[in-house]
Formats: sequence, C-alpha cells, structure tokens
Amino acid sequence: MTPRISDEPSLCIGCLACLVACMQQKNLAPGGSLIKVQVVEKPDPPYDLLCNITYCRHCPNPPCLAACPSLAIEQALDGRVTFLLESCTACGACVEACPYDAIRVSPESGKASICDLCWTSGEPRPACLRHCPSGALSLLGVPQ
Amino acid sequence: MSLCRSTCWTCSAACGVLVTVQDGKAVKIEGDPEHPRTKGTLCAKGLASLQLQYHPDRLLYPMRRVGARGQGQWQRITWPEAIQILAGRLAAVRQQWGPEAVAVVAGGSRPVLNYSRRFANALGTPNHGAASHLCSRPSGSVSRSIVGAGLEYDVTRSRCIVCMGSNWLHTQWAQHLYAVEFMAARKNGALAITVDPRLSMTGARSDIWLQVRPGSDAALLLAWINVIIEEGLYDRDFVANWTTGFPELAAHSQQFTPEWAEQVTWIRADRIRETARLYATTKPACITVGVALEETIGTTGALQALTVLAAITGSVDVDGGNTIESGVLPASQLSKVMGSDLMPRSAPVKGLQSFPLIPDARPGFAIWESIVTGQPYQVKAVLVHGGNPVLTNENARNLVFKALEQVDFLAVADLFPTPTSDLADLVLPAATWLEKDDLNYRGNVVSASPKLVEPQGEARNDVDMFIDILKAMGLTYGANSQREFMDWLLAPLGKTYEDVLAAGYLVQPQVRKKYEKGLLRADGKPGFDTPSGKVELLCSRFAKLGLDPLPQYHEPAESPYSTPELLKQFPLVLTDGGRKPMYHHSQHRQVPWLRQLSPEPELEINRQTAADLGIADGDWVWIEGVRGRCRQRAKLTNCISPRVVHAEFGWWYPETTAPAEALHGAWVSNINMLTDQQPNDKGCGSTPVRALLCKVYKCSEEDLR
Repeated sequence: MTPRISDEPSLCIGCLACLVACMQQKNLAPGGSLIKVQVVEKPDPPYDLLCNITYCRHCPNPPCLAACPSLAIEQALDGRVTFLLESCTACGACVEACPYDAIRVSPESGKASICDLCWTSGEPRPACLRHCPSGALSLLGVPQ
Repeated sequence: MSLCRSTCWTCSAACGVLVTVQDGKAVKIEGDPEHPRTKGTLCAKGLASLQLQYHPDRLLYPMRRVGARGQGQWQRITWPEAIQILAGRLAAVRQQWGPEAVAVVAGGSRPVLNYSRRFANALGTPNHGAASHLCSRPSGSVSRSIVGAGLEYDVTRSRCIVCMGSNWLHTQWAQHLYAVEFMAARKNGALAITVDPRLSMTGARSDIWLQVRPGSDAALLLAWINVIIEEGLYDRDFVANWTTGFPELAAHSQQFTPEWAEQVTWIRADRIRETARLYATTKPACITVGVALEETIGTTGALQALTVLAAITGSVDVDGGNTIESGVLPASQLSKVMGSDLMPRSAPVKGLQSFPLIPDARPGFAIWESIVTGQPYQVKAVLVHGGNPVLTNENARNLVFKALEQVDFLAVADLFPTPTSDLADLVLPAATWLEKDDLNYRGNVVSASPKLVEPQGEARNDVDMFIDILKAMGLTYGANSQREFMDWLLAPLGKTYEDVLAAGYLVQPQVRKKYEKGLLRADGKPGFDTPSGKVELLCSRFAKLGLDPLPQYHEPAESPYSTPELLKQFPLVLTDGGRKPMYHHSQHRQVPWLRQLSPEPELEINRQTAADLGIADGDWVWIEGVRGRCRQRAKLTNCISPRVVHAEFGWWYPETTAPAEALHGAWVSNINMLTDQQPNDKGCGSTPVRALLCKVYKCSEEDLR
C-alpha cells in the first residue's frame, strides 16, 4: 500500500497546528501549508462544525506527475510521489493539476513544494501528524 | 547542530518542546514526545515561535521617549541608563508619596507574573495589578472556601466532562494540554456536555451543546442542583459523611426549578433536567471551568454552585472528577516566590481596592481608577511588565487610556511595541523564552526552559532587570541572578535548576481521596481543610465575610431583564472573548504564519439577525454599546442565537501605517472600549465583560477610509 496520510474529520478540532507544523518544516510562506483544514458549518440543524482536511494523497496516477513538463515529479516503487528539486522550473503546472490543493510554488525559492511525508528531513512521521492533539491524522502504508 | 529540550512559553501552557539549534540560531521548534501531558504535540502558537523569536519588529534596545507622550518619538539609550532612569523615578516616587504610589502591572500567567509580584513586594508596594479578579483566581478562591482546596479536573479518566465557560479545545492558555486529554477521553467513550452561547469547536465535538444566554450559566448550575436533590441523584454517602449544610442547601435550591432556569438561561427545562441526570449518574464526572464564568458580576455564586455540584455528586478528589492536585512545589514556597519573605501580608502599607476572596491582589482597574480619580490616593509611577492593558483591560479608552495618558511615569517591558508601550516614557526590551533560563513550576509538572540562543539586540531577562533596578535603589530581590533565584525557588525539593534540566520533567504523583487519608489538613486528620473539616455546602467563610453562604444567581448588570429600557436602543446581547487557537490574548497578531490563519477580528452574528440588519458575510460592522463602539467583520452563522452576537477580543494592528497617536490601531476593533470595570462581583471583584448589550450596524464607506 502506498504510504500516505489519512484523516478522520470527526476527530479534527480545527486547531490548525498541522498547518503551522507543515509551514515550519517546509519553510513555507504564510498560508502555504501543504495540508489545509477548512472548518465549515453544517447548514441545517442540528448544527455542527465540519472539518475538511486536504493534503497530498500520493495518488495512484498522480495528475501532478502527468502535468509536469520538466520531469521533476516521479513515483517511487511503493507508489509515493517524489520530487526532484533540481529539475523544477516553478512553472506551476502541478499546482493547477493537483485536485487536493496540496502543492505550492514558492516565489522566494523558485521551486515547488510537494508533500514527501517529511521523509527527506529524516522524520519517521510527518510534522502535521506528530503535532495533532486529537488523533485526526494517521499514516497509512507504513509499518508502525 | 543540537536538539535541546525546553518548555514553550509562547503562551502560558508550558508544553514540552524540542528545539533544534544550529550555529547559535534556533531553526526548528517541535513538540517533545516525552512530555507527560502533551506527548509530542504542540499548538499553532508554539510551532510558530521561530517567527516570533526572529521577528523584525522585536524591541531590541531600551528607549526613552523624546517627543510628547504617544507621538512615537524615541531615543535609544543603554541598559545602565535605563536602569538609572527607572530606579531614580521609582525612588523619587517612593520617597515623596510612599511605596504604594508605585504600581507594577502584569499580563498573562507565565512565571514572570510571580516574578513581577515579587518585584512589587521588594519595592514595598501592595499594588501589583493583574487579571486576578477574572482569571482562575476566583475559581480557586471559591473552592478553597468550600472544599479547602482549589479544584482541578481529571479529564483523562472522566466518563462525563462538562465544559463551562470556555471553548475547552481552543482555550488559549493550555490548548494542547486540554485537547489531547479531552479527545483521548472522548475516544474512550466519555460523555461530553458543553455549555456555551455559541457552538464552539468544543460544543461540536461534544454529545450535548447547551446554548446558554451569556452571563446566565449560574442559573443552569443552580437548576442542576435543584434536580439532583429533588430526584435524589446525589451521592448520599459522601453528603452524609463529608459535607455540612445539606439541609440548608436543599431548602435553598427549591426555588431554582428548571422552569425558572429556562426563563433565565434560554435553555429548555427538559434539557436542563436531562443533562442534570446525565451529569449526576455518569460517574466519574468533572466540570471544567473557563474564564467566562469568572467574568460576570455573579462569579462567586456561579463558582459556588459549581463547587457544590461537584461535592454533592461525590466528584471531589476522585479519579476522573474535580481533583485536588498536589503540586511539586509546596504552597508556602510559591507564596515566598511572590515575595512573602520580602513583605509580609501584615505590612502597614495600604493597598488599593481588593475584594474579600482575593484580598492579596489588585484588579488592574483599581490602579487605573487611582490614577484617574486620585482616590484613595494617586499612583504616580507604573511599570507594565509583559502586559497590554490598552487592549486587555476593561473600559480601555475611558479608563485605561486616560490613566496611562496622565500617569507621571510609565515604563513598559515587552517583546514588541504595543499600544501600551506606545504611551510609555521608557521602553525595555524583554527576552523570549529561548533567550533566558526559566522554570515551569506550577501544578504537578516541573520543567526547565534553558537559554538556548543569545538575545536579539539587547533584550534582557526580566528577573535580572528587576534585580538591577532594586540594587540601584538600595533594595534587594533576595538573589543576585535569575539562576541563583531559581535554585532558591527549588530548594525545598532539594534540587537545583541544573537537576531539573537534567531530569527533563519532574512529575508529582497524585493520590486521590486524600480526605479519607488525612492528607488534606495540617493536623493530619481525615477530612477537608475547612473550619468544620467537611465540604461546607453552607459556607462559613463566606458568612464571615458577609457573602451569601449559599449559591445565588445574579442577573448581568446590562441585560434584557435588568435594563429593559436600554434594550430598545441596544437590542442584542453582546458576549466576547471566545478564544482562537492561533492567538494568546492580545499577542501574536504580528506573527505571519498565525496572522494569515485569522487576519481580522470577526463578529459572529446569526444569519437571520444579519439579514434583518442588511449585513452580509464579511461586511465591516460597528458594534456599539453604552460606552463606545468598535468595528469587526461580520461572520454570519447559525451557531449563535438570533438575540446574541459574539465579538473577538485583543485586536490591534501591529502592521498599521497610521500616525503614532493611533496607537497601532488600538481604537479600531478593541472590544474593551465597550466593557466596564463596574459593577463588580462582591466576592472576587469580577467585572461584567462577557454579557453586555449592543447594537450592530454596517460601517459606511467613509468609516472605512
């Protein structure tokens, strides 16, 4: 099974720690986290607050890979989407292609940022998940 | 590169962190998996600490005002010059007017709050002003009178968690401590009931949300007492063996029927009955208290009712209940830390106004009133230490601002320029938690936050600053350095600061049902630390102080029922101050990662009410009350009553390009322009900041220019 994050929205408390953890880990601009949490109100009674959590799914047929003109995005044997920083031209095609709004292009670095589950930083579990207080995020496809 | 354990003080929760330091610079701050409570998690504020630490707007040097007050003209000076000015002014005031003419004002409850209290005591002034009248001191004082000890909560082992007066999952001062435990308990099947005027995230993650009218929580608690006694759902053994005054309470509570409470709280009587039964029969149960309960004119009664409920259901001092925690440090040492060794309470200097249940502390407003009215005497010099009263204190414009404008001398120590420091004569740059050695010694965990990086500019450790000021005045702090002070602080444990650093976390194991084991009283006898040795449902201490010995309900001073004529002009109930997870009080609006998550203050208003007023989602609206108005952006929602609106608190605009006298946008969205420092709760001095009346209307284009 492809390693990726999974979420249980009913456990999410909208504290947004995962967003800041990601921005710190990846050195991203404000608002540029690769994980996003949107809190929306259920429109009918009984009222409730629902959390929509979006992040890289490491898709089986990654649209970002298909869209990248410079071969900067590849797929590892285990299915993970991987990224070759040197090849990235920051054209933004992957950002457009991603259905999960999980890729950013940084104007400062001139490169894209793609979720690698924090593995390139040597972390066993991604920063977003490690800082979640409620257990709303979990890691699939990785022996615990 | 090194990985260092520390304690995060970006808010006051004291979560465990691991800081990566490279070439003398902190480069990453993450949660510490070994922290006994937060277990490696960390909130948005803590995770954004690097942007605070290396923020270009940090105060870097001591500065002296050169133009008129509030005009933003400063001259950089050296620390020795700053100490000389400060010591000279304070000494002159002490000599001419007495030590009580000096006031020290503090902000949120980091350890420095106690250190500045000690500083005030060393100066010989009883006038240390803080938020003690509306933040945690009331609940501790009330339960101490009834149970003989402060009550905490063992959420983790609870089967029924009642959240009163707070958005527990986002509560800013202990967000991840609480969130980790609440969600773990929920996963284990604990029932959760949240009482809140609006559907907060805590309400959304609870089984039951009781939509209470702002300021009327006490009526709900009293009706629960009524139902629980009426239906015989109380803990008969505990009541018979460990309480006094039950017959009086039973007779007294007959008047508080659910039907009465329905009229007061706007919660249906059957819901009140149903939840009272759930609370009384789902054991163990705990009630958590947020500050909204401590910010009304009926604070004492509300907390009394809550304490009584915990007692008659047998939920006191049990696993999963409202617990009596043994701290690591003995209480006597905590009192010494605050300076009881430097100035005993019997010192002859007369302090400004205080209230019978919190006699040792001054509410901030007592100091501002003294400056403005000169009664009973006038405070002449103020040191604001890590606080921003222009945003956080009641009646911000007509009281706080007036006082700061006219006080003879104002010094402010902080991390950033603030609307309060804008008014100062002397501004002092404070060090962050990454730049100084400090300790977390509250509650049942002791941990260290060592100095990991050199301060930015000339930012300085607060305690070292206090020591230098006192030395220059020929007085003493009782220690020659922060290190020495911390070793002294830990001495009763037979430990030094280095020992704590090496140990990581010192955790005090907890014993429950201490009242059966003779562990609560100085005489070692079983029972509670009260005059009768029992939980005093009819409180003898209150009777002695002239307070109601049984819990009462007090209608908010401004409300549809107490001021119906005002309702014609101000038809909406205003509540405010609900927390957001990225900010701590008035702080962090300049931290880019956090500000982007919540760029502007929002007024929550019911969709129907907004439609009636011609207000669309995102419109800037005026919120106007008797004392003033401010503007925030309308957020349309169904999760608040059509008769109620909720405004955010603590908002200013650090990035503003407005002229200096605009005080960084202090008068744009500041909800404390609408609040008042009076009337007060008789026991604690709590102020009615959470339940007022207002009207809401759209800003014109001219207003927004």
